[in-house]
Amino acid sequence: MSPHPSILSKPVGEARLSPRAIGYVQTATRLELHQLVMQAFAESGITQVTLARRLGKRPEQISRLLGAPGNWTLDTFAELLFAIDGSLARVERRSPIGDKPTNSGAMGWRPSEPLTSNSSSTAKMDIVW
Amino acid sequence: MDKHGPHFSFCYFNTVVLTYMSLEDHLSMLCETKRLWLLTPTDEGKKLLRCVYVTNEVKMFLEGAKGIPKDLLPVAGGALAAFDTYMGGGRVTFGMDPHQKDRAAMMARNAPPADGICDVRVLDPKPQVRIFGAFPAQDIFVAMTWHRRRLLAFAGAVGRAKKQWLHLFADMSPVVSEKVTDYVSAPVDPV
Repeated sequence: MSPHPSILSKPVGEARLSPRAIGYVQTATRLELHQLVMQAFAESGITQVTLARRLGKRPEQISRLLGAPGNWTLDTFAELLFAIDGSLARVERRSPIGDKPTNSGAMGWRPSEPLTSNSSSTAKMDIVW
Repeated sequence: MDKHGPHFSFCYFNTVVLTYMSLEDHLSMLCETKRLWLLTPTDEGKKLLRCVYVTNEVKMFLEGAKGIPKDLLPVAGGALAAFDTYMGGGRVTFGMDPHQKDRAAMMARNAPPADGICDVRVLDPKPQVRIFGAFPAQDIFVAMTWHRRRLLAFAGAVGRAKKQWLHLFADMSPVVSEKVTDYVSAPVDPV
């Protein structure tokens, strides 16, 4: 095992997750859902006005929702996706570690956890989900 | 070897190698002298379709080094996720007009656009952070400095980033264009 594990290393026992790992997984998940919705919206060809009418919202609300996933709930995600093209999300689990991409040509620096993990931090976060 | 293991290299995209050979050599030199680091996706499953180089200042922030305030550690994680999305070829919202951009833009140009200084806008988790940098070429972002959004004086931050750029790239100009895809390849939405 590497002396400096990835911040996305699988949790072990009751060791507290690092604040960085929590920040990463929350943001990454939000961004991934946002990407899915924006991709569907781009492919659908509908306008924000149409989407707003389908959802009974004002166009500026739709503009704000599509702009960033910061205030999304799971319900927001589900209704946006369905309203765009009638689709549902397929959710699956995967490990972010050891899953090599097919075109990994560069060996660079990847932020890791320090040996003395800052596991006692109690940083407060705005948790949306 | 650095404590973080194998650390630097350059992008092996065919387009970059063929079109920007001298830039590649320069970036390689900056990495060899440890003035820049090529960021590798935290999520090992991400493809590397765009790349990010970071200075030691940004590296320390991203790794939550000693001295980084505790309230910014989740933000550093959020920044890594944003960089992963960018590097993985995800859709980027890019604010072209520094004064009229969507408040949710993921990246944006700063005033004056002619300086070529852009920032990555880490909006979540809070407190917000801005990571300033510039593009030496399309899809290559060099992240140079970072600031908390609160109390941020943009003119000063842009000036500091410009100084860093000169220090790293001397007379080489960053990308300055009115075409968003000169900065970031599709999928990118100018907002």
